[in-house]
Amino acid sequence: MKFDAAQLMRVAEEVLKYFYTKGARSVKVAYDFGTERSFCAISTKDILLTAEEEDYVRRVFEGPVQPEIANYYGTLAGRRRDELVMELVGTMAELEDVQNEEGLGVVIVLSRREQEYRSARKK
Amino acid sequence: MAIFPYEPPQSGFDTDARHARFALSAFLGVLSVYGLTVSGFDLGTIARGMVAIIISPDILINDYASIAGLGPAFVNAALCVFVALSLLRLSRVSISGPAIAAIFTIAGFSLFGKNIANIWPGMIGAYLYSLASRRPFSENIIVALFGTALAPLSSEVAFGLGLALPWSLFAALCAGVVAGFILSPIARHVLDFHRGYNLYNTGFAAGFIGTMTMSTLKALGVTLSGGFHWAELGPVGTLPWLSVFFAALMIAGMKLDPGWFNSYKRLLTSPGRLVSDFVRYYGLGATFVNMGIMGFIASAVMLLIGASWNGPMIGGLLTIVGFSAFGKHPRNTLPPMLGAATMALMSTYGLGSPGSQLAVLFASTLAPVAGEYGPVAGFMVGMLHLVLVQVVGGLHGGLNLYNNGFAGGLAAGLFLPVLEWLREWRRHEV
Repeated sequence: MKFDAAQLMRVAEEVLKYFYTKGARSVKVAYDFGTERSFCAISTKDILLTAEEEDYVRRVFEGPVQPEIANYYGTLAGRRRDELVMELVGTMAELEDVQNEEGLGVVIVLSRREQEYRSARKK
Repeated sequence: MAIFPYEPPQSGFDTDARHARFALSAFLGVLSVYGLTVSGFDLGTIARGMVAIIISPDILINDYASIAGLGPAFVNAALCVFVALSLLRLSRVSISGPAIAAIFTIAGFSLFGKNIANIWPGMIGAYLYSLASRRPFSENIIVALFGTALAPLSSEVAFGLGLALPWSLFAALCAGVVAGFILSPIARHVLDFHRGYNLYNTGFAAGFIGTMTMSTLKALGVTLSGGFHWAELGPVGTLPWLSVFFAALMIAGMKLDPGWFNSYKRLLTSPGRLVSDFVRYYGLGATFVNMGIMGFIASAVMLLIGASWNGPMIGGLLTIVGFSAFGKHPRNTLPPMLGAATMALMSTYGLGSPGSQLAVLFASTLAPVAGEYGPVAGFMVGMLHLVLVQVVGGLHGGLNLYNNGFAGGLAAGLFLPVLEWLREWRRHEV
């Protein structure tokens, strides 16, 4: 399995766990694996995030992807354990979209680029 | 495959990363100026000291302040930090918590085991691992920097085993490269054992490699050379400089972030488990304040236990300051340190022995246990750490500089299943 695909799966698993701790019991996870970029969408209709929780999710993904952290510590993410490692997840993927609406539920769309990550902005 | 350079969204993180890089450059300057000042700007003394540092077998504990003096030791630290900062720059890695921790750890251990010559083989090994994995070196840079824990292996092979030149140098290079190469996957793998509750994870991995190497050498009848070097120095020479540096960190943090107080209050609630990048989530201002405060606290602990202000102890102090950007803060650090100190007093080791004094400082590697499970758990795991660290050094024969990281990994991994079960039992999930 490609490394980046495995990393994205870990990320999705961690967000799934986050939804579970917030009370969701029916959660859908969908992937779209591309050659240069892959996406995953995690959705549930069971819960709505409070404004504070939505802000937390956005803050987690606010900074850039940090390959030096994601590659080393990435194996800590996505294990079905008691602890959440959302801050680690924030270094592993980019936030594409957060939908948090009555009726729709919560949808978080994340993406991960293939290989050429740089945490520093290229001049 | 097409290469798309990653363009992250503009955020405060980029600005913080630039400021952090500047601060680390300033830290490099402080190390250099102190080293030169203590040596009386005598380049001859520094050159002779550097030679003594480079050719000494570096198995634990080899205090450079003892074999060469504080001046050359700090100049060596400055050179090693310069190499590390240059590699981070070349890899285009943003400076945040892990990078700060790595730089300070390298600075600290460059006072007793790492030097400008023996850090290269391990880093070359990590680079070759990236090449073989067809991944950018930037992804492996943190392991490469922390992986210099095995630097004594190269020094030992080059200058301690009695091999003839130039074969000894060639063998040292090969040994270091192989160790650096295999450290990269092993460091990732052993995270699972303690689940991020041991902050010095690379030390845990390096401990296994050191043990494997030592076992092989023993089977072949090869004995390691290198003696115990430990300078007895008072705080007068270094504490004032360090205090000014810690105060400067706090002032810089307060200037950088006018809202540092609220950020710092949030930081203090972090369990500190890997990965807790304080720069990314609480800002550089609060992180610098935390680093300064932790510097003062660790200094106070050193004064309380009557520690010598030599290379290893100052190394431990700098490592704590560095990891205060990556998991450590007063609330989660003091319980394991107190536990280790108490156990030292209760045991036959006592608080006066170098091993115990180092263990008290480095027990802070278990800060996440206190952060997640409370001060009592932190205190108890600190006690376990002290008894383990006195024994596990014999397994790798001092080849792994992060001996406390090795013991910390074992202590966390042994404690964790019990703590986890207790928590689930209390929540009626068992």
